[in-house]
Amino acid sequence: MTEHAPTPSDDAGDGDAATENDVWSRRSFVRYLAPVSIAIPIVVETETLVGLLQNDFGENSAWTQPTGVSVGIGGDLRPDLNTREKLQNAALEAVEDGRRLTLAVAVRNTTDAPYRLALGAVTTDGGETVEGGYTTDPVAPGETTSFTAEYVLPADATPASVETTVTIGNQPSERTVQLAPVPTQ
Amino acid sequence: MTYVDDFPGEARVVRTAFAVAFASIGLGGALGVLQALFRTGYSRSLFSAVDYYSVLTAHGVLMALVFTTFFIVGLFAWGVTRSLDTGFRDLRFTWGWLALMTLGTLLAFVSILGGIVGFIPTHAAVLYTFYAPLEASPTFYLGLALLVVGSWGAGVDYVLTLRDWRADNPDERIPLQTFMAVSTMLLWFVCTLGVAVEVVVFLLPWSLGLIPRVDPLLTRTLFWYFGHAVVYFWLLPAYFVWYTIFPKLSGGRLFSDPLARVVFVLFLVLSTPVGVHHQYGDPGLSQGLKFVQMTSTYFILLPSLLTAFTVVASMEHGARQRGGEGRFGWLRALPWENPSFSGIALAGLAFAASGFGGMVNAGLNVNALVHNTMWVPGHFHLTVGTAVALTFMAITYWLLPQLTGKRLRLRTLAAVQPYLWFVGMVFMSNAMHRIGLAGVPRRTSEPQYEQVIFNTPIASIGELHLQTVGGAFLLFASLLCFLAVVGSTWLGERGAKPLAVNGHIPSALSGPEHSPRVLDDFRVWVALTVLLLLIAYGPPLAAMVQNGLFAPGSAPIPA
Ligand code: HEM
Ligand SMILES: [Cu+2]
Repeated sequence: MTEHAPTPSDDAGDGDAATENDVWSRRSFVRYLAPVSIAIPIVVETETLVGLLQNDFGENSAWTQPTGVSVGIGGDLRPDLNTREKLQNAALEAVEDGRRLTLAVAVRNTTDAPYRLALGAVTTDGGETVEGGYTTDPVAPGETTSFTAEYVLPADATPASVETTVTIGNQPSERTVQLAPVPTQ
Repeated sequence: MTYVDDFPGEARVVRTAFAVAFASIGLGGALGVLQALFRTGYSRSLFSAVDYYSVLTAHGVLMALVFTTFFIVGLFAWGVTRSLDTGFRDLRFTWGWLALMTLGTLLAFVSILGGIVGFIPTHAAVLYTFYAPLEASPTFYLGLALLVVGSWGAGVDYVLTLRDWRADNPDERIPLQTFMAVSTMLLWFVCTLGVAVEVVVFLLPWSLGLIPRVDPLLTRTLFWYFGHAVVYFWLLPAYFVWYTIFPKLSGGRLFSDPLARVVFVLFLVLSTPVGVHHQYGDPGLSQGLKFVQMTSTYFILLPSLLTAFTVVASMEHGARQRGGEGRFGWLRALPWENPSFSGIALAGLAFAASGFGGMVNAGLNVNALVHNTMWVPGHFHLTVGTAVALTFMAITYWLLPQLTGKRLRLRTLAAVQPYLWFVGMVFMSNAMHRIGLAGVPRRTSEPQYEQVIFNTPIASIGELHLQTVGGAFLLFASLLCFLAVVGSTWLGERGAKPLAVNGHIPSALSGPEHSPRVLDDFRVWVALTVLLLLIAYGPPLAAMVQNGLFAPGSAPIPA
């Protein structure tokens, strides 16, 4: 029963398969499972693809955000500069008149000139601007400092970005920094 | 005459191997559902977050190592003896290797179980990849070693049977099924060498306390020398089914026998020198080496694309034989009610989809995005978990009657089963991929951290968790259908009804006479394989052992 040399019985092969399949053909409802089963991945994967594209190119997508990278706890607020502005902690806490956002930052002046960092207004996911912030005293070359800035956001809002200004010597450098999701306490 | 009448002894061997395989997938599937429930936070009361890793080890070992290997040695035992039309030389030898494999499996499984139940003094929460520095009880490594050595016995058995046949038929071409089985087993010999050295020279003595430490990089490299090729050891038996049986199920014949042989030779030669693509994250291996093995990885796409072409062409040929017409209309002429057909067709579809993910995994730079995230289980549940596992389940519906002499029962359940599996996997795997894109780690019992919010690209983590668990339940339901069909067929009465299947396989449209004879000369291909391996693995292994076999961190770390 080797399959190499064609023999007359080989041609019966198709007939064989036909009888084998006959036993199944009575379950014709199963035929409908095939198109449905194949449609399901097409729907699921199309939805995934469209979602991914919207996420990248649609409104409120990462591309329309102020900076490309969102900064989370432990992240560098200003990766574009040589100085260190580390977001040491970030937390949201429910308070009477909304949610209190706390941003704890540690800085190190790695330049030869006097330095200061200012945190400005926070923008929420709904697009509202919440004033507040903190400006450090001048930090001498090689020195470090840390501070905490607090904001009170509306009760249902989450922070999306914060304004930052780093001044080295007399040169201010402003940037809107996108925030990663902040844990709720 | 069916197979069980022609070869009652061999049929018994195949049935025994299949029985172990089915017990494994049943148990492994139940554990899979528990894992899915645990990870997603739906149910964490059945075992502890620490025990999760023993459960996961059991799932990985039972599915990827035990179910696959036992099914494969059984399938090939059938294919070799059927296509050569001769029994094994000495069934005592055959039972010997099967017993060794079974003993090894029991030993390894009980060792894992020891991590969960108190009265067994072993532990093996090392996952199915069992790298150092994770350490298991010696019995676990011993069990795996016996499983592998037993499977070598299977390979020897097939080769000896081929040799005997060759002596009687010096001028004939090797029948395709035997050609495929033997080339797959040769691949298995070549690649298991790495894991055998890892286990016998390093891990086993280390867990026995005979050597104080091992070099994690060296042992990982030995593992992945095996670990990529093993995926082809799983896949090629599925290809064996796709090439030799599926065309008949579609109502036609294989398109090209020579192309099928070329594909298997390509896999033998190309599968092993690519293992470093699993080590893109490992320090101590040079970027250059990673780049070279990435390039060879993309070469192995070729035989898979050839397979896609041949299989679809054979399917279309079958459909047209059955009266199918039109550019796509022929698809309707296919026997979608026959679960052997539909299971394989859906398995092939899943495999095509997973190929895209595989290209992402294989890219040296893009890999960093998905490395060790849930994306990876999402990928291989499509490959080994569907392309391979669903093919094996599907062909069981066709083989079991021939192995038992009993007509298949519960046919409606059987007819629905592949669809359930496929849809369940679409949901589970899609969710796993997306969760992985958000950076959620795999192999983690409680993947949530106070200060991290996983930013899923689309849909919330909660929705994706629901989708994972829903898929897992569909898969489990499908598995229960499969086991019910197999169980009730097995318990049925022999010869009570006509079988409605037969083992006859029509010859290919283009037969082996259209290919050069050198294709059948395995010595050439093994020599070429060894040469490529020396080039791919010689220099890095030499560098790793330079400052001592057992010294960790011995390789120079690139600046
Ligand atoms: C009932 C169907 C199945 C379900 C619900 C299921 C579920 C899962 C889940 C949730 C994981 C990931 C756990 C983690 O990374 O923390 C996993 C891992 C895994 N599964 Fe499955 N699975 C199923 C079937 C299969 C099949 C058929 C195979 C292979 C033949 C398989 C092989 C694996 C392997 C190798 C792992 C990785 C283990 C590791 O990371 O060490 N699974 N499975
Ligand atoms: Cu691989």
